Amino acid sequence: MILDFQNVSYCIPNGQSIYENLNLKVHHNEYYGVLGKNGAGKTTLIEMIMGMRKLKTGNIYAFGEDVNHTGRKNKHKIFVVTHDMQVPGNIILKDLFKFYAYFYPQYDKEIEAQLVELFELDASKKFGTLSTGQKIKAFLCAAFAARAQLYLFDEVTAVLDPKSRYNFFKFLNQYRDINDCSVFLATNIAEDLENCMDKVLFIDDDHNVLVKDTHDINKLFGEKESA
Amino acid sequence: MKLVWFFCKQHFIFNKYRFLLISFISSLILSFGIFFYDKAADKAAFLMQYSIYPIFIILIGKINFRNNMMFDVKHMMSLPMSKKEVIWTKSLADVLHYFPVTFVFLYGFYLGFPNYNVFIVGIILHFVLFIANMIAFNKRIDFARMQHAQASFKNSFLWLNKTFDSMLFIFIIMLTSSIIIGGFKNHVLMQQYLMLIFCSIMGFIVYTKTIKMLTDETLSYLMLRRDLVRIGVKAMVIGVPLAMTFYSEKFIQKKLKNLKQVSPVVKNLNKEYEKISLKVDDKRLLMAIAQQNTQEIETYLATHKDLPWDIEILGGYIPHIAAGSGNVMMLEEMLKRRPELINMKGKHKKRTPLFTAMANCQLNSAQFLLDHGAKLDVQDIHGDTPIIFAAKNKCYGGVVLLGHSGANIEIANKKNKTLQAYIKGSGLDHIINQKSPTDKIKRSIASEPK
Repeated sequence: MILDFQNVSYCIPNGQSIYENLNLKVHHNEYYGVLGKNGAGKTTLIEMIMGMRKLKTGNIYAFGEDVNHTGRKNKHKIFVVTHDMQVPGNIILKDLFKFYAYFYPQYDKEIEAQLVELFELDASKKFGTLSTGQKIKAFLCAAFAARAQLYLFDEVTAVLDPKSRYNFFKFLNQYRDINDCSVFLATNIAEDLENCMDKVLFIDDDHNVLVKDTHDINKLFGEKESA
Repeated sequence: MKLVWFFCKQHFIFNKYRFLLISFISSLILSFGIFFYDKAADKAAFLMQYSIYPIFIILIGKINFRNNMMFDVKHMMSLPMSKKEVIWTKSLADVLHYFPVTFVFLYGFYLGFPNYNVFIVGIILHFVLFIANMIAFNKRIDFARMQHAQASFKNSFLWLNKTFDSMLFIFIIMLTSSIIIGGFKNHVLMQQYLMLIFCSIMGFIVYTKTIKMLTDETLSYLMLRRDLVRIGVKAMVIGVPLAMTFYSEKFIQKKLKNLKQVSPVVKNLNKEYEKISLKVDDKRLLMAIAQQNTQEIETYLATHKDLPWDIEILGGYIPHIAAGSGNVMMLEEMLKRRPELINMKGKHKKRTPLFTAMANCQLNSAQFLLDHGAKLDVQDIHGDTPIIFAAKNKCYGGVVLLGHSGANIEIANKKNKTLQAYIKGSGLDHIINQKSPTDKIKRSIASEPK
């Protein structure tokens, strides 16, 4: 078991309930897409798994550890990439990769080089000189090279150009064969999920979390429209 | 430890230009201090004063900016480190930035306070900076979160709560530090160890608070009932002692005013202190001399090789202050150490300590000076002798004392006036003509309110 949500309830600080009694189990090699309208709580869900949110009730376990515990030891099995992560602009990309390599024992330099080429990045450039999309690509290179067991991606595809998006999903599909891992991909683009995700977590207007097959995405929206 | 070392190394790699800039500024301060000042005390004052500015600026930058030095909070949390490790490594690695300036500061401290163990002081200083960095990190967690809720009016109450928090924190630090430093004046090593213990306690408190901040995001948003209670409690904790201090101070001042008048020397020193820059120790010594605080003087003598005879204040030096405030013990000390200073002339008016004694009508110190060879007929830049000066200041006891000690009453000042012109109508003419003064007359005049 990679992720285990046990009766998780969460309220944002103004008292509004976002999740109530959420029970979810994520197993090895399962790819989850997270869909929902703006403000539904997709980023919140990722941050809850990161241990940055105080739960009202229940617990979230990642690799058997409570994510809100202060002394977690299995974090090296998780890699997080979010659209709003910042690093100092004067870091050179190869230094950034070295930095990540220190934390992830299974870091694979070959995958890193392969992705740098695929995403057409220049590793000798400073992070600050990159565009928003290139910054995300740099994080993605480090992420896949890290060979983590759980990936949390928050809105990473929205800023990628069409070619890079295609390459990203293509690589993600191939990655199953290289690395036995699970993925949580929060996005606003439903089409992203169709080809490579196994299941979709759909957060509806009432903050209910529905777990559906990827094929049912269109149905989900259809149901909502007819309702 | 390995992680901390790695972070320090990365910190250096990521911020090498900033580090070089700080090193350059520090070396400038160091070279200015070394080349432009001769005395160790002046060097120390310069180095300590100017190295504290960069430290302050770096720290403020760390608190205010979101991503200036290292990764932002969310990125730090995404890294494979526990919350504990995030806080420790981040704060310790940030201390690395200060090394060039702290080196300059500590060198200044070593020159200024040689009786302190500079190694322990260095540990304390870096400990303090470590804690300050943890606080800065704490604030940045808040800053990142509150960006989303800046528009909320309710959050201004939260701001109030956090301001009270900081005030309480500063209050506790100042109170405890002054208790430690003031309470163990003569036990330098004890002071240092207690400061270390105090820093450890503060470090633990700040660490706990930061862990809470990382775990509970509601601390960055107003929870009405919870936070209003907290604000109320903190307002009371800060407000009540402040109000009490204010009123008790007023009450004490009123009482003191009724009880006795503050010595004019002390008053003048207090005024002068606002204008000049002196080392704290020296300021305390001068005030202790003026207030005849024997204990304070002994403390100074225990920790310093000699007295700062060359410090000029109000146109005079230590012998002048001692004579003016009637501090005979200090005059005795002067005789032991530097007997030639008994006729030391002031900087501007060229008056000896006997003049100051006359200005303040301190007959005890005047008598002491006379007994130990003070010159009677020395003249200041206006041509006044001590006896004329005593008459001008209406210190008629002094006039009698000097008169009977053999002062020449015929000497005229630059206005061509002799003593006679200044004591006209005071009824002293016949007294100063007597050969030996009787104690009775002397005491009766000396006890006249000036």
